[in-house]
Amino acid sequence: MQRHGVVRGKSVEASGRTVEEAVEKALARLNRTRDEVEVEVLREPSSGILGFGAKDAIVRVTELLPAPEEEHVVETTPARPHHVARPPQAEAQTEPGPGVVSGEAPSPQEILELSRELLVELLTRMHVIADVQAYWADPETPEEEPTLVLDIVGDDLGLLIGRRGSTLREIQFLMRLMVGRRLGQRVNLVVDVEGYKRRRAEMLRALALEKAEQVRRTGRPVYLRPMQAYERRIIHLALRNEPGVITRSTGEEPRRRVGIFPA
Amino acid sequence: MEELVRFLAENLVERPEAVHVRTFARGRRVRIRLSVAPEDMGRIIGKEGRIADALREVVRVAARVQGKRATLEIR
Repeated sequence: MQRHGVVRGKSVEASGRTVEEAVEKALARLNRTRDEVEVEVLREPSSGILGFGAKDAIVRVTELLPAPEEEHVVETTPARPHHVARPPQAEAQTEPGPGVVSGEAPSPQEILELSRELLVELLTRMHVIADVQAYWADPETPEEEPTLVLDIVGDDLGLLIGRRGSTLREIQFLMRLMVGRRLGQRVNLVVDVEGYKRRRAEMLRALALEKAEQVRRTGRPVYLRPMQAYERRIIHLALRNEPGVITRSTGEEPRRRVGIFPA
Repeated sequence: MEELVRFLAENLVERPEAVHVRTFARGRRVRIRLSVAPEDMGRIIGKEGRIADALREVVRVAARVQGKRATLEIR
């Protein structure tokens, strides 16, 4: 562990068009300079053909911290007044992971960074090479709070989505718990993989409008296939102001589904 | 795999210092045993095992990424 008098600290992954750009991003996130870190290139960039299939460089950048003083020296030598500050590494034992926000309420930017870092750390430990793009999305209705979207981007991420998004749902569930714990407050966050949920939401909205048209034309109700709560919500919202139809969910989980009825 | 389980557990419990993870590997099969402070059991299991289920799913997928099969025991 204490080879070369250094220990490894926090580690982040980042991507960029070039290795240099990816390293710069990682350094900014760690707030370190190049000579304070170790850089590992996880993927070299490739340009693809005419911009298609281009792949970003991915790097892992790890802090190198001065090795802690031998414990017993610090504790048993009173001659040495108030010992060397304990390096961040020692703190990591009790407070794992990236910076713990304490004191005043964290800003949206702090929430975003902490959440993204937690997800990057989770993915790294899952041996998934991917980057996380985080942003605050406006709420769908004015009375709701904004949502923090953590979009995982990379290659071959189908495994992360799982059957009908089941794995993604579990990752999101754990992320909400971990972020909530770290911040001591609930954060409205969504974990997505390459916009999977966003694309799915668009598809569901299109489906809703198409079926609404059918209901108006035929005067007969249409029942959609069973969906998860958040998907049903997309349908309800999509048709909320649609003339001539009303929506209602019927049945019990996990077979609960939306019915579209003539108004 | 051990690192993954430790990371998740330490971020979910009240007493991260009481998180212990052991791995038993045989070929492609990996058994991971997680133990936490008794008062933290609820934070790892969750209502109706909801959190434990999520942990198992993430462990299962992470193992598959590496071409392995993993099971998570919580005790």
